[in-house]
Amino acid sequence: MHKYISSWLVDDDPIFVFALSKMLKRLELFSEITVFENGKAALDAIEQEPTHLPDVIFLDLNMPIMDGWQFLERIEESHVIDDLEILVLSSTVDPSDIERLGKHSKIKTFMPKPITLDKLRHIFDTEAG
Amino acid sequence: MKFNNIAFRIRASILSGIVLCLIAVAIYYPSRQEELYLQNVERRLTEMAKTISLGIDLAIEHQSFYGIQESIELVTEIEDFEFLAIIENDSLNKDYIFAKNPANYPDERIFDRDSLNNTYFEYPFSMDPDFEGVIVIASSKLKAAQDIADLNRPIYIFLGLLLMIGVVVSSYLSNAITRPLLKLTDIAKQLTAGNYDLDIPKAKLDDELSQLNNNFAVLSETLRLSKQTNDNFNTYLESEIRRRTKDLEVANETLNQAQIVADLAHFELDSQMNVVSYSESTKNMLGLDNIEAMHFGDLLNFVSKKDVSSLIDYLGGSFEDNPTFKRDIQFKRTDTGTRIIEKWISVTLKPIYLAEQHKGFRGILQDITERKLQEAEIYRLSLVAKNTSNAVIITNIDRQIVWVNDSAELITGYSREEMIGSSPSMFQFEKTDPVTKARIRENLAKNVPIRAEILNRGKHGNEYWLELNIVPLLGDNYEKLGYIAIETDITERKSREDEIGNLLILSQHQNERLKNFAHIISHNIRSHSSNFSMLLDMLLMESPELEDDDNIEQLVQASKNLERTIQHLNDVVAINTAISDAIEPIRVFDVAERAILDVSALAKAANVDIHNHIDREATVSGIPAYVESILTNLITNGIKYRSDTRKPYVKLRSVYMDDKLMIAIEDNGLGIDLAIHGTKLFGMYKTFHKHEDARGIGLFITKNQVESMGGQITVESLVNEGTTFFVTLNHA
Repeated sequence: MHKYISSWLVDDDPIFVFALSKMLKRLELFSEITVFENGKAALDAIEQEPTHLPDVIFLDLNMPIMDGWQFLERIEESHVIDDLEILVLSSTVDPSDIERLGKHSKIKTFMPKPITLDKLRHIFDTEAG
Repeated sequence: MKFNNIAFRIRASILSGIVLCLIAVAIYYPSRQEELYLQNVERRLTEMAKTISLGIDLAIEHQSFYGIQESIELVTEIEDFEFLAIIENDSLNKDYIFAKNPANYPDERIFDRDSLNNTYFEYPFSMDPDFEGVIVIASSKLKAAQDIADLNRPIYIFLGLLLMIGVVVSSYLSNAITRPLLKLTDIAKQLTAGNYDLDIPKAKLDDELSQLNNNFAVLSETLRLSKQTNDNFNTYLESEIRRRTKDLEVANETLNQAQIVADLAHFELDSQMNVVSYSESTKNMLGLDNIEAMHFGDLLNFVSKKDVSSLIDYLGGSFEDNPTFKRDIQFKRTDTGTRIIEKWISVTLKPIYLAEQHKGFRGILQDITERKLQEAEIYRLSLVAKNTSNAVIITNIDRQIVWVNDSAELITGYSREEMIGSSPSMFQFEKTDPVTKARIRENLAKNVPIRAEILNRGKHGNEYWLELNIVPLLGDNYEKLGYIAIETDITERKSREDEIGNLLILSQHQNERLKNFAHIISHNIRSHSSNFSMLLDMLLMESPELEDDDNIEQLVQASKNLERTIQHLNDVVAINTAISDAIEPIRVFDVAERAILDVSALAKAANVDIHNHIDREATVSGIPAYVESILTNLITNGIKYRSDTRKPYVKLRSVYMDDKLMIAIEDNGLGIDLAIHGTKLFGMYKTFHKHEDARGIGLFITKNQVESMGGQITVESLVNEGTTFFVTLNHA
């Protein structure tokens, strides 16, 4: 059963994307998974088709060209974020990063890498619950 | 009546004058009368004799004896003769009384013409040589005397009367004169006796005595007033003298006291230099009781040789050229009780002259031991100021330099003369920081000392950095006297500081770069390791049969180890980079409660009782997250390494120590053999229990966290009894 229709993976690490996609498919959470290499690509897509927003965005923080922070700022400015559910993923352990995330109230949650199936299940189960 | 006084004298003189006159008259007049009378008598009698002689001559001529008789009878009318006789000198040259009157007069008495009772007047007669003779008339002296006396008696009586009158008059006159004189004399006596309260009536007349009287009146009045003034003045003088005497006494006493207070002592020497007088304080100062018996030479025994020779020089004669001797001498004496008296005494000597004769010397001593010690101290201190390698510059309240030491000359390059009188701004130039200058000015205006670093320029154009310490000098009444500046040349230090600053900036940049580098690397490593884990998970999920594969098992384990190591590295790095996190006061009890809550699931599952006995008011200064982490870790350890054989507990308590707080986390678990593991306990990756969760990193991280907050962690443990960790942190 697909709870959500579409999700975007905004991450520049192809191996991670590969692994995460597999997990998501396993969990049958999404019918659609779109991958963007960095924030800019995702932003362009939003701008091009503002109506075609995903249900969930898995956002990485460290990306070239436009990283996760910049992406967040840009979509906050344009108020697009209200309609989005964003999950931030990162392998960062920097507490200042975590603190900074707290300021972006619209972020659903933060998931540190590595991500396990259980973690995903847990997050989306509670969602469902 | 005294014979001295004026009344008598006047009377006497008047009287004697009168009397003399009267006597003169009484002598002269009667004698003159007598003389005249006698002359008269003589004349008359002579005339008579002559007449008779004539008569006789005529008679003879006329041969008339009757004529002779008549002639003789003529004279009977005359009564004042003794006898009259015509004595004829007959032819025999014999005297023959021819006729006589009185007829009964004895002839012998007529012939005795030498009789002293009579005066004889003879007149010869005869024209006829046959009848010649003399006519003798005798006048009785007695009768004459009687007649004279009768003649004179009225004169005498008259004179006597005159005398009496004269006495009376003289009395009166003398009284008239003497009474005022006596009165004046009396007045004078009174005045002399000092009694000026006289009532002298003014004289009415204008003669000399009256004038004298009036003058006396004026004089008396003047004297009275004068006496009054004198009396007043005397009274005033007396009271003044009394007052001055009192003042003098007070001054004298004060002088004595002052002498004692000022430790002044004086003494006098005679010309033989024996001590002839001295003050009490002299004895005290020199500690000598028998000073009166001493010769000055004895005192010299206690004086240093140099001083002795200078004294002897003076006393020996140079006092004539240089009268005043003044010198600070050292006096040292051993008392009878072996107590040493050692003093500095200022000696002043002056010679005493009496009528240009040298009589001795007067000396004054002053105990200046205290002052000398202070002078020595000040000298020593001044040596410090003189010789210190720091520049010392003293300015007055107008900020003009009044004194500099040698180092100031060295540092600034200016000479003493060039600096004194100028302002310290002479050392400043355009590169000198105006903010610093203003700060200095401000502080000094408020009488507050200031420390500052300032850039100055020396005489030869050399720029140098100074550390200035300026202190205002205040007097006893907090009045400003000036400023003292102590300056240290810190040019080198400054350049080193600059170097260090540069290095710091450099290393900060490097640090930043390293951090970034580490960040990136660690992130990338983490990403890769995480990918690895995820892929392994997926692999196992999609091919569950691989779970049994040994290699896959080890692969999974290796991946987990990698994850863990990276996590640990992150933890350690996180601590070290987060040192700048804010340190704040933390209420330990509350943090402990949070930590206990964190591990509550674990504790419950392990059936461990956790007791928080930490003082509720205890606060420490630290990073809250760290403190929580520390407590969590130590409590967790206590839970993990619990004993199976007894009811496990973990107790937390706090102990106050000076400015620190010690937190004790105690368990009754397995304990640690400190003899074996003690040194490695807090090292990284040292495990001492073959426990599945045994991680060595935990305590390493905890230690790091404790020390980053300036604290300490120690442990006490007994195997199979329990372990207590002691975490000491700074009080808040």
